[in-house]
Amino acid sequence: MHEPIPGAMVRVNGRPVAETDAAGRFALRGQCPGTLTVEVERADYVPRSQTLVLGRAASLELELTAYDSEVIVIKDKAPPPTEMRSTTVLSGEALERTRGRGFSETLAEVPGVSQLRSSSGMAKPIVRGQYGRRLLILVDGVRHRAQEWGLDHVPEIDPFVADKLTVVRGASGVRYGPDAIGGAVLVDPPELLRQPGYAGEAHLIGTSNGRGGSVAGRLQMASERWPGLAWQVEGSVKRFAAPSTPDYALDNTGVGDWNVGATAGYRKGNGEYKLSYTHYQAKLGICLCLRVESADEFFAQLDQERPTGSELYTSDFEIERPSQEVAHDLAVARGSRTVDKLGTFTATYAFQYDHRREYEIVRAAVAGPQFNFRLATHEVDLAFEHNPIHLSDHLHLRGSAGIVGMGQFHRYAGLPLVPDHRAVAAGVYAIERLVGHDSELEAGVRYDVLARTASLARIDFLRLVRSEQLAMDACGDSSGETVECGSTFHTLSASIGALHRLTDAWSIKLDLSTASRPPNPDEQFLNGTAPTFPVLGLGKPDLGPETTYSASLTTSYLGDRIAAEASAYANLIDDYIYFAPAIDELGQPIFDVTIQGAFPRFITRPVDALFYGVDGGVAVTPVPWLELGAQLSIVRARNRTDDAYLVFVPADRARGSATYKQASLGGLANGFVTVTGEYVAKQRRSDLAADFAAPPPGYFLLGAAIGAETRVGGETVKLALQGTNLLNVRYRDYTSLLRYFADQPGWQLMLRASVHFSSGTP
Amino acid sequence: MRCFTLVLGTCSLLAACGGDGGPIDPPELITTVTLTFTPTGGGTAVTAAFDDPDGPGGAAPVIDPINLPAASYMLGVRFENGLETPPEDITIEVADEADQHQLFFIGTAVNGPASDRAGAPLTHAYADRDANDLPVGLQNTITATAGTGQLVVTLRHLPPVNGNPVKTAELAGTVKTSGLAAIGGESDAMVSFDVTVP
Repeated sequence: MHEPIPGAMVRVNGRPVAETDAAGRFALRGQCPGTLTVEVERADYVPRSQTLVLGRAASLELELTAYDSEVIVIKDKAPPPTEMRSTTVLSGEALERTRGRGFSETLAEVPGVSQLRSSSGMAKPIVRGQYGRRLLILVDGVRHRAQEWGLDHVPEIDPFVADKLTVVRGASGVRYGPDAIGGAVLVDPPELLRQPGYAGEAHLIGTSNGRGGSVAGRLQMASERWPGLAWQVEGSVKRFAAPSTPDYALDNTGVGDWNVGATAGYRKGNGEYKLSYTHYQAKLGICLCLRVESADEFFAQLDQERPTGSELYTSDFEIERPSQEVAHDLAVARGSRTVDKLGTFTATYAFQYDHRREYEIVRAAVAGPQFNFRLATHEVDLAFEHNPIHLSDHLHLRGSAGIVGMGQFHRYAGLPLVPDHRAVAAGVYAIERLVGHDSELEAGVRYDVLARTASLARIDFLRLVRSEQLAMDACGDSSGETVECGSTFHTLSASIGALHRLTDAWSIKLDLSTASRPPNPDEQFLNGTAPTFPVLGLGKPDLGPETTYSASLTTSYLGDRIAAEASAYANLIDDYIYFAPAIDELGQPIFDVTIQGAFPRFITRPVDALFYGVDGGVAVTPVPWLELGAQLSIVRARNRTDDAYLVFVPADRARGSATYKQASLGGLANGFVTVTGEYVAKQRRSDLAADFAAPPPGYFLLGAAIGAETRVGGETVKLALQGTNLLNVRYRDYTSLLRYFADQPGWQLMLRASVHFSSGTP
Repeated sequence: MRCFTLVLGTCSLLAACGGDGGPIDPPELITTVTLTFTPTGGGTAVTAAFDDPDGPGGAAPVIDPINLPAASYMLGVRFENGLETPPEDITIEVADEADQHQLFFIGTAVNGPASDRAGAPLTHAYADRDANDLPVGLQNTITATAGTGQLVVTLRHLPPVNGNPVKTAELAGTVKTSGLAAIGGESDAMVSFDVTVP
């Protein structure tokens, strides 16, 4: 049984510096790096002292026992290094308040993040204008591998698995992979228990618009009998009917998904080992209002106030065609071992299997999917983090290096669209950080090679040749039943970053990065009418990698009453792979006649792109019971080759919030009332030649939440009622596929009850 | 490096297993639309086809012009998927679900239930009915008089929404006044022919 010890005197090198608080914690700031002795003393416990070699920062946990007992140090571990890019972490209470929302909706709380909404009511995150394959999502340190390319393909991730969500804004190629051009989203599961006992949480959520709800729970245990052994199981189920706009239901946008996961871990001495497995399954309906029609008809319906036939739309649970069904499996095995005098070695093996089936409206004779994608990915990652090297009393070197390997297999069946392919990749990287008294300097470099072979059925190969995308001899021998088109990409990523602390609370960070992303097979070999867009899409088989050069400057202030961060960035992308209309010699868009009418031809082609902007947020606590927050995100994106704007770049947005807190009221504790306002401007920088419709007007959404904690049977239960779009505003979002067809959902209330329980304070 | 080789060995095995992910239904692609004009007074039938043998993308479709002597005709429409061997006759499926399908004949060459162009060379009327006594359009009557223009044939799939029929009596009239975007369902085929009646 471990209990915090409040009121213990803490001395450093013999000088009293602090007293532990109610939670048994204390913090020391402004210590010079070097050796120091920390003593902790309270009258009824054995005094304890510990000598510590201090780098930039360290944490120390001391266990004191009553007289006549032994004293054991259980933890002495430096926190992870500060990220040189602009980052935001969602965890604890902030994450708790987003429970019940979708993955991207959760992330959209963060400055610089918006959502690319699909036609199913779900979304994928956009960070600083980058999404899909330019924005890596890492789940438990493993890159999420799925069909990221489709605008309508939502990440197959249940936000309940996260104990912490981190958004890293800006090119992060060295640390996370060569295609982290826009940044990275890290989804971290909770750590397993270190002390024998149990802990867990359960959430029950109900929503009004869509009349659905979700249930989620997690149970963690650590064995008393076999010290070091710990495990957890978790699961969630979600079921929503189609939500409604202020005027009509978005028929067939219901959601049904579930997720189960299990993890087992063992730690002994210097070693830690973990096995985990997660399965995610979702069925998503696509709005009946979305119609992929010939250009004439598509343009004609743009002028309609509401979708044709919407008087028949209802908000029901039934998910009919058109729909998507996705299953995602993730298995991770990880072992790490700390070797004295050297550092920590970590080896990870991960397997992912992503199965996506898309069902179109068909006649009764057809029962199966029209698009069936299966992607299997194996990855290994061997990393070594060396022990800090002390160059002098005030200068230390920390760093890590590693090699990664990947094997990937893709199989596709259905209407002509993308080919089967297989790929092998390897990479090697090193990052070193020089830690000084007030400043830190980090440099990293990474090299990756990717060899991919697309297996084109002969008929598909010939279609590419007839579309003049591919020469007859471009893939060598083309006489067989399948034609193998191979490509190899070498990419280099590098970054250099600096951090300077002007005061204890105020710091500035600068990051300069370059990274390269090889083209995806769909960008190379796409050939067909896209399932969600009224275009005929053609890839470009000889595309090269796109290369980004980015700079970002971030300043943060973390004071007692004010916490703020602001960041400015510019991101120049050479050969940015752009999926946009094909233009003929006269500058006119090309239309292809198909059996379903004339469709605009879209091709992938490299253009020089420039993204730049600012984002930031501030939280102020003028008095203990009031918290005020504000956020701003601005992105600009130019297609420099054609001197035009890029499409699907989020419009400027600002958010403000005010929270009133009440420590206790009757039997309730930690009560709060929050009012939130979000304004999204009209996107005035758009390219009508590359899009189908002018951007919709700006909009303002009002939200509010009220919540408190109560004790039920010895456990703390948190209750909250949340409202979104409370003014029931009729609006369309520029970064939503629905915007061509229908409005976004109207007002909604969400009721949430959460309980966290444990066998005691660890 | 030994570990990596080992891992790749495993993956080939798994990928081989993952290869049999269940059967894929033949996609419901239409590659060919054939119009057959049979003179009601006897004589040789005139056929014209819109043929895109490799589906969307790839080779451009081949579209026959319609050259029709002035007369009265029965017009039959046939849909095929030529990517299947033997070619699959989609017309049968359309006829089986006639209460969820309707063809619309519009364009500058047509005057009829869905196209308001008095004096156009082709005068169209539906000649078949579904179980609900609503027109289908797989069989039609056409009267051809001298002139030129365009004939656009659209096959509209109109599955019910929440149990309510989308195929109703006034569809052709709605198309006539407000265009195809004003009715529900989706177009499985929309092909355009040049028409000349000497």
